[in-house]
Amino acid sequence: MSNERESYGHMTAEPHDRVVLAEPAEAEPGRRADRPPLRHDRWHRAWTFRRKKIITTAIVVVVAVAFLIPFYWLLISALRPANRVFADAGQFFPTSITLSNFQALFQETPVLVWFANSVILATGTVVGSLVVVTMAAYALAKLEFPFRNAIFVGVLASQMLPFHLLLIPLFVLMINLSLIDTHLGVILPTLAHAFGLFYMRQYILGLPQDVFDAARVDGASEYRIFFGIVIPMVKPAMATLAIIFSLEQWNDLLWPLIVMRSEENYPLAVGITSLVGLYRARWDLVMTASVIAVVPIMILFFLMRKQFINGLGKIGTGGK
Amino acid sequence: METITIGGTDAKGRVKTPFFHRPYVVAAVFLLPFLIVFGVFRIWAVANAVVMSFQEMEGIGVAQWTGFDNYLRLLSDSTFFTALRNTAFYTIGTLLILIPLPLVLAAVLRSPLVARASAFRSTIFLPVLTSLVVVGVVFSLLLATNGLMNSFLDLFGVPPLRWLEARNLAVPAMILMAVWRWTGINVIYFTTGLANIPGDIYESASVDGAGAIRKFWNISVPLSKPIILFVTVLTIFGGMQLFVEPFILWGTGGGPGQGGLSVVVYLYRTAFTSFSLGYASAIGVVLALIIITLSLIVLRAFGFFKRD
Repeated sequence: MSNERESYGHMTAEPHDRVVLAEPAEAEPGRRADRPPLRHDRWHRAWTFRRKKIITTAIVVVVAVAFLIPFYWLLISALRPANRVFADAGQFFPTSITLSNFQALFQETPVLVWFANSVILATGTVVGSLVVVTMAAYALAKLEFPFRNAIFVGVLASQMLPFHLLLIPLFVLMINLSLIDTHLGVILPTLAHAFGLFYMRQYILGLPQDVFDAARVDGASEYRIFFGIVIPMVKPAMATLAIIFSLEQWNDLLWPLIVMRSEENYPLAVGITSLVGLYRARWDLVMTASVIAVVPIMILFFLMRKQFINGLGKIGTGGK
Repeated sequence: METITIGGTDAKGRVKTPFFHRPYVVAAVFLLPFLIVFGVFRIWAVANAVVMSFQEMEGIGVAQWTGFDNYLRLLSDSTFFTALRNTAFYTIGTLLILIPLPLVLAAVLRSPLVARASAFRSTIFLPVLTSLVVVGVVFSLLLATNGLMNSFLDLFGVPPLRWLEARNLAVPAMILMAVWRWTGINVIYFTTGLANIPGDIYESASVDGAGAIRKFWNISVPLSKPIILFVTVLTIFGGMQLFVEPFILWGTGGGPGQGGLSVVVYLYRTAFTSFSLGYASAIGVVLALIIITLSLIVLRAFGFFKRD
């Protein structure tokens, strides 16, 4: 019990342990007598706190290192000589390192085309969704019309429908629209992004109403308000959504796997999957292509760490 | 101040609004692009999935009504139930780990007991950015019978495990991958949730003599209920729709003794290698009903539908 009490001051975020230290001691004068004098007590507490801090930090470091091992494994496997990638899958330190796998990848697969396709798909999804979502969010936030709430609630409720349910009808639809094996066929179903709409609507609702009133008094049309006021003001929200949309598209496999039929139209995720399927033994190509898929995202992450974490974390807190 | 009036006036002097500036027309212009893609690629598609589950396709566009045949076939399809069992075990496993572990981690990382906590949060967040395809690829090397995991277990005298080649280890292997991939984002969700708990609740608990563990259990956990609910529903959705990991590890085959066959892999196999689009639609509808029912049960259990 006394141990527990000793630690509580430190477990809260504020460094107010000295304040709490004095209070319970006075509240229970009986205990005071068996305890060491206050100066020693304070020194003792500081020391226990330090010891606890070192132990906890050490545990967390072990966890973090464990989380980094797969990344190390990805990189080190890509750098092993081709015939050692799978054979040495249990050797923590490589016996030799080479870049020849990357050379083989560029020679034997259209990996740069796959990369370009991933960029095209991500860009198309981001631009298309942002246009569609921002326009609709403005209407739902600031315009008056019948069934406004019903539409909004309906879109939100549609998130309860799992995407796999749509695979087959959308596949048949894409065949009928001749959009199989096209970038548009991959992009179109991603545009009606329910979370994006929700997030953008909340953001626009949070903008100061005076600006809109002033613009309307000045006789600005809704279109001018949208382009002149809304677009400049929602740029931070657009940045957040751009991260979410592009990451989802970059990492998606199932839908592009169904739509894209020819090798020169594959995005990276489908290209890597085709390497896993076709050349069971070509781990050198699989690992190097995976490095190429991961590195750009990691670079972006380290450039914009806050935006990534805040952006993706927003999904969990309902966009607040 | 200059006032701009849109449109002119008619003969009686009333202000005439041009068509594209009438309020409802304006609303329609802004709303239509979203509603069109939403209507076609969500509403129409879902309706069509249900319709197709009562049909069988003989080639694209040639559909034959078969009534409940697809659903009856599903009831006696042992492969479907194997897939459903694997998927359910996977979902339960991820729920049991991916809620308590990130919640504790989030609380520990918020306490002053850890130096440079945000660097740790970023580190365990990195897997969240990684494509599931890459996760599958890396773990097929890590979990290979001659792979790093077994080398590590060997240090403790554990004999090599056939992670990817034994029927009963397929689901645990995928749970391991899920823990690596999703812990980081759940920690972020819980961290945001914990940050919204008012600090004076902890302070008054401290004054009452509550220790760190009691405060975690009696304050942090109950007040994180909305986030726990959200993460639970999200985990059920993600778990029941498991596809990429087993597909990368074992293709459409389902792995050793079908131990790695998930429902969506089975759906994919039925639709795109056997080309039974109607039967695959029925699988999709049943899985969707299961997911929605589970989510509603969870929401109800958490008291989400209660008005207060």
